[in-house]
Amino acid sequence: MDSLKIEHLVYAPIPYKGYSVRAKSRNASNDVFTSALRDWFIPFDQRIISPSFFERTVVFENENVYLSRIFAADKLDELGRSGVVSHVAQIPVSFIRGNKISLKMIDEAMGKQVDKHRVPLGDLEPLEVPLVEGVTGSELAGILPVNAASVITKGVVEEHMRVFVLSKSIDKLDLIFALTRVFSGFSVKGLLIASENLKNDVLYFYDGAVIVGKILPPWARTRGWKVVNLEKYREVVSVSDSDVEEVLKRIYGGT
Amino acid sequence: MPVAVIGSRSVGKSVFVSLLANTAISYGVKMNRHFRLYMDPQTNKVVGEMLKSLKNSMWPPATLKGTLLEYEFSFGYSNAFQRFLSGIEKILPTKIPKGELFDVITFRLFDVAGEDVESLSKILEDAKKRRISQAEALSDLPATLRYTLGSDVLVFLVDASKVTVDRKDPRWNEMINTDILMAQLYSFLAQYRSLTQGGSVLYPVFVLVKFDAMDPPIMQALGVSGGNYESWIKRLGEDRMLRWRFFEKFMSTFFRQSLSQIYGVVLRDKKMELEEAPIFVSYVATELNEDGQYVPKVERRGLENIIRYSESEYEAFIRYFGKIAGKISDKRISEEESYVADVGGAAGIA
Repeated sequence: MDSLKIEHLVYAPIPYKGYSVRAKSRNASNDVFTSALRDWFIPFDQRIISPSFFERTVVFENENVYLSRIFAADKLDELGRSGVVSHVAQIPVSFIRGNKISLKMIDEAMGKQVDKHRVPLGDLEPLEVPLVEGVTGSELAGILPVNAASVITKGVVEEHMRVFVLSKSIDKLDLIFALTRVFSGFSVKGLLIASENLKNDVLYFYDGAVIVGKILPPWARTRGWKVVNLEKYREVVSVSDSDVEEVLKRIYGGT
Repeated sequence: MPVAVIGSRSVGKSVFVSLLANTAISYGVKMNRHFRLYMDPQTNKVVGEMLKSLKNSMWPPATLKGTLLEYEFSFGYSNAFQRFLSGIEKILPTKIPKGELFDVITFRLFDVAGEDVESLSKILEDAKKRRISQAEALSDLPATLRYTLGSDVLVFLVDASKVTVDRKDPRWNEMINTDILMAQLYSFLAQYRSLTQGGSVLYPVFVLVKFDAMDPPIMQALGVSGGNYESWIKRLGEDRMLRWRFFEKFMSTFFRQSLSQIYGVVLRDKKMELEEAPIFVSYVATELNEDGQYVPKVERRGLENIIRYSESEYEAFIRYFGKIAGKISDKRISEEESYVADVGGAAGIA
């Protein structure tokens, strides 16, 4: 097998119907996607949505990872109204865990099939993405230092806290993909990874949340949140022998 | 005071909010001794963006399902005595702050997606299938709907463009479905408020929207004289009974099940008197664009490009709140709250 077929769908306004599943590949199950995406309570506030709006979110649910590209597009319904499009791909978590596929390539493949000017309606072909190695351990360490990854995963997996990852220097998309790779090593369910622009109340629909951003929002300062400032984790520290660090060692390849 | 706008998908909730704000902006400038408007910065931005869409002959974006667009704005009304004080302000021994001369009503207006309102019937069916209690069904409601149903003022939008007498017209079944949905919504609202509100008073308002899109023969049969609906709408401002008589005739002809529930909700919630609600009519004049879609019509009037809509009715809507401002103003509510707090404190000491 040199490529993976990925099921995907598009949730957006449909003429005369409103927000609904607008297009999907043959084996994408509406119910499974709807349940993973928590009944389409789209995690962004309408007030921040402008024509240039573009965000990604990742949800871990039942051995799959759901990568969403969420953006605004024009002329979606019978009145020619603009609206928000969620294009979601279902990726088996085992492929990310084994580093057999690149999330960036999946993201690019999604972009090629559905863009702001051509939002499909009806049937879609599954995405076909070549099986190539994703980011290497050293590349990963450059984006998300291993000691920071340790603190984040301990916060979410062991302490069941919500974590805000603060970084002014790293691109948020790189960070979302790096976190997805790290969490693929653990059996997590109902975990949301997103950027700081999302709506606070959406967090309550998920068991865990890791939010990345450049500015710490007021809600991240409340109880139950852990804040990890990546700029403070650039120095390498010794790795102890806990379960979390063992998994991270496998992912990062002992950097 | 939480105010919610309720109506099915693409009925025009966001357009209603935009035009209400647009009218309040103009009215606040024109009648600044009687009426003032304050919008919070975020509301200024969102309302500004929506009006920008309309002024560019585009409909505002479709509101996201599960999203509650919240606008916060204050209407300030002055009564005759307050205006008298304002007039003699210069000769008064002590200066009265300008803000004291207005009864202020602060609205938190919620615009919910039509899909959320339509999902009510699905929630009710699910509750029945799962054989869960009413209270459990209520806790399953999305937060957006809970906010909406718990508001003090509910603005019900009724779509006049959906009515037809032709059974072959695709709108025929849509009209019947709308009637069922509205009837369900009114009865569910009475059920919800009787279980949760503890006797708070509801101020309902009906707005008949897309009035211009009603078929001309239907308009004529309903008594809209001469097919000139714009001048007929202006008459509504002078004849209070004409409003209700027209609405009753319109509802009893096309949305009879809903009208029966408007009358019937008092049996479930004694404080919910929908038949006492004021009625307003709304339209935005439209024209066909090059894609064959009806879009808002913008006209040049002097130096201004203006959206053509039922401005007099929106002004009547604003004035309606002026009439009840004395009862529901923020000052009065906070005085009542502190009175209740004092009574509670005294009881605690005893």
